Amino acid sequence: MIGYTCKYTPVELLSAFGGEPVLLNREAADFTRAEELTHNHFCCHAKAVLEECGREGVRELVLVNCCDSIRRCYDVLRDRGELDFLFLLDLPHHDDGCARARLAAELKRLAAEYGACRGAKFDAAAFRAAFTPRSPLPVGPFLAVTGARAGESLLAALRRASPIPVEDFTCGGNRFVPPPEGLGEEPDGLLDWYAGALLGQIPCLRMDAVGRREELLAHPNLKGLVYHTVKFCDYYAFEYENLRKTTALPLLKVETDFTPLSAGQLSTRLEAFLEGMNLRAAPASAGRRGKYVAGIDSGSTTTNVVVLDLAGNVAASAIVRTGPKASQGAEKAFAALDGLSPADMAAIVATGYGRSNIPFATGQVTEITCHARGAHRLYPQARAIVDIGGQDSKVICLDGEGNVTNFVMNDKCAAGTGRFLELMARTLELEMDEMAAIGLSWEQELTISSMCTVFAESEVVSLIADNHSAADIVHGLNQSVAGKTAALASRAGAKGPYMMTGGVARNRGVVKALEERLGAPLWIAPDPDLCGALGAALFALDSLDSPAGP
Amino acid sequence: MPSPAIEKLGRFISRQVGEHPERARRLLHTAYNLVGVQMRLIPPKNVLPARCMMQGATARSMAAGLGKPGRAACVNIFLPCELLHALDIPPVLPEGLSCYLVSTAAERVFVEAAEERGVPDSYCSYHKILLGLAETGVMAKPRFVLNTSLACDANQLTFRRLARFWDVPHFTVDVPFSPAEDSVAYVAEQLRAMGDFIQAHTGRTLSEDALRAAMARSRATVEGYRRYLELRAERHLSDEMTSEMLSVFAVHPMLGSQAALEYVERLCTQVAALPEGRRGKRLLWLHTLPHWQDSLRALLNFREDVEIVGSDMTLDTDLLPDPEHPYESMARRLVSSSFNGGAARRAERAVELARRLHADGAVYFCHWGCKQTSGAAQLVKGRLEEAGFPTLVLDGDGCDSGNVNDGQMVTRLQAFLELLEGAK
Repeated sequence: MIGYTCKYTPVELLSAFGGEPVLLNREAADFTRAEELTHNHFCCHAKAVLEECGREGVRELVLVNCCDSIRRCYDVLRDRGELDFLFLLDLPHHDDGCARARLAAELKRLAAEYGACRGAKFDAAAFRAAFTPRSPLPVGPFLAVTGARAGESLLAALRRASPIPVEDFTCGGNRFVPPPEGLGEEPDGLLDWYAGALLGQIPCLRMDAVGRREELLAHPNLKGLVYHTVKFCDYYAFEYENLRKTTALPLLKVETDFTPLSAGQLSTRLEAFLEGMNLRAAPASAGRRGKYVAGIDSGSTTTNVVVLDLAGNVAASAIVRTGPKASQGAEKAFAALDGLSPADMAAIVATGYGRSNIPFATGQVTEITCHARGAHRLYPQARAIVDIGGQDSKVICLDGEGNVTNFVMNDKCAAGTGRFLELMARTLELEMDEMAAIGLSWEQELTISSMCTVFAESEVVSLIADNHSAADIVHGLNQSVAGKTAALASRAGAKGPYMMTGGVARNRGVVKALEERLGAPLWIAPDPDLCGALGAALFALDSLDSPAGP
Repeated sequence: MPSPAIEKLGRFISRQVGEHPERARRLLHTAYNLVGVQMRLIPPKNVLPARCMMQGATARSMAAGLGKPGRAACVNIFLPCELLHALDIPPVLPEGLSCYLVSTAAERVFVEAAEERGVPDSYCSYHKILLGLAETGVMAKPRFVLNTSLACDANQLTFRRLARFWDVPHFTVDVPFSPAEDSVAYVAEQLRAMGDFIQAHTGRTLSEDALRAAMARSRATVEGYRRYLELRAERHLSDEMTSEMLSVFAVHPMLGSQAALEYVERLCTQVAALPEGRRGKRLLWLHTLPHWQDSLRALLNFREDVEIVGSDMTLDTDLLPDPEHPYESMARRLVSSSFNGGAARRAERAVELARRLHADGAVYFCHWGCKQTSGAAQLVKGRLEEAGFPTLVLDGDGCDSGNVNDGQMVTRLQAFLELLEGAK
């Protein structure tokens, strides 16, 4: 086999010399080898290519000069000298006549080198036979993943989660080169034509003229887009930003680092996206009898439960530490309700990270949808919710009916989350309550500029060593969290009125800093941690009337 | 850290950006013009007069980018600018503006503005600040945008987005990987088309004589810079840590201008006057230098025991320009740059420079977000060390302290200097 990664790779030409081209597209469990050869701040897709080459024993490889990272993959592999055949095809950025001539010359260079390596001659019949017809799109509604290359397990996860087909519109899946027609057998003539055909594909973002990418999305059955970006690949974040402003299609951004997925966060986002498109059924009740319903929000730090009577009034609520297991956290939460148990509930909807691990739950809804529902009940004017929890922070935009219109979550990094503040409080030897209060009485403005939690911690240590007061440092930290969160709000296109939920809403210092950043007040419920559980309980109540119910 | 007065100014400017971008622009414009005046009238005593002269010229160029809209050409660092100098159109180098903003302590607001507009946090900070500067309305709309695909992907992304944002004409020069003659012809053809583009969008006619004169100045500048290197190879110069960035400016966007030629001529005269003899540790610096980082300045600024003798950004190629073949000559400069093509070429160039300048070791600065630099780090380090030059791969950021672990960088650099001391 001969490995390749880019859709501009002349796979038909490789077949004409007897090669068996295989797309390298697997995520890597870790990047040990790749980072030994390159650097940790390096495109994760490119690192996965280096790992795959080593893991799969690839002996022949054609790379395309697509980007800085793939060019460096070529450099380090060439330096190692372990492959039988390695070629870098220099793809022009333009697609005009001069660029076609340059690419044709590159194809001829490849033909000469690969032919010599294999001891084979150009086989025009094999060349023609290697062209494959365009894969047909589904006849019914479908979703598409677009943006940066999606790895095999990401595609599989998307397809598992979606009730309708998911098409791969990234450069791993949208390759189509039409077969030659009316040309002779002579290789030079065929390759001159072939250069134009390769450049005539729908461009990737690396090309100079990218207007034709709009064609990708012009299909009436396309119902929504999952937009994928890869950590340390910058190309596609730029297109996403444009698309976010212009497309009418439901759009979900997913960033991965090309490793087996951060399953919890990805599934939350996907399910919330599908819920927003009404592609998931409402949770069914378990058919139990009871005078109450419950919503249980199993978060990384706390588990929160809200019980409603059948008229929708709050009958009880509790907040407990989750502990090491989501199921035990849920049991503790019910135990804290003074006399009410899961058996008293006609329906229990679970939400939050641990929602799949609550054995007595009768349904699950993501925390995105539950927060919106709860927020709409508590503060119907809200059009944006800022939720800062222990493990993640998110901004959810909603319409006048409480439906989610958009949401953005932080990436894997803990900066800007409750966990970040907890870590910093520990460094400052403060309790969380003290930290919340002390940040309001600052005197000197300090900037904590590090975006990384670990770096920020060392910055805080330096500030302590420089004798800055805890109040000033906490104020700097509050500003840092507010800055990150305001950026999320901006990315989500959030407009007020704002409501804030999650445990960090109790921290007056953060709230004040964030209000200043947003230039608008944040409405906060008396129990800001309970919003998600309340939304889940309302869904549980709905399920009693649902046709899918008991 | 900048001085308290500069910090105060930076904070004041930052506060204007959201509501009064025009006011922020005027403040920066005035501040940079004042730097130009200061460098002419009361230059710092410990800096070579040639450096002060170039500092003044760059400050004025930065001010042009913040002056009246519709006048300057926005260019990237590797774009050959002789055509612009021949037509008397000021090139504005946004990466340079990012350095200046850092020196004015006003960069953070632009980093945040860019990230709020969806620019990824892993993106090159120079480009991120530039996008923030433009999209907050602080940077003046240029006449047009010109860029090469060299040296990195960010050029493609930033300049395309800027041209769209400003709604101004845009021209990209595609630079192939190989330095072969067909690549030279391909690029030369595009540079001719760029000449037509500039004329069409300015209504000015390019005189072949003016272009030839600009190329002759380029040639004299490169010759002068070669002489300076010969002199520097045998002398010690206690210099500002970031001085080499001024030379980068002279041999890239300013190449072909009278200011760049005067700079290298003065540099040669002033360095020739220094006593012969090398002393202290001599570092070759690879890639950009962090303007903001006082902790590194403490180790490298105006020191008697250590100096940065050269940077591969200045010395990516020193081919002599040929005034009789301007387009081919500019094209050859691009394709043969050590920032173009494979990492092995960059490594070979680094080894050659280290030998030429009698370096004791090299610092390979992995600027945050620069994948082509980080991806080549181990390869270049390996080649330099094989050639006998100990090399430190130093992770940092040229203009955003937010991506940096300052204390760790200092420890690494200090340990490396100790290692070199032991090796001497």
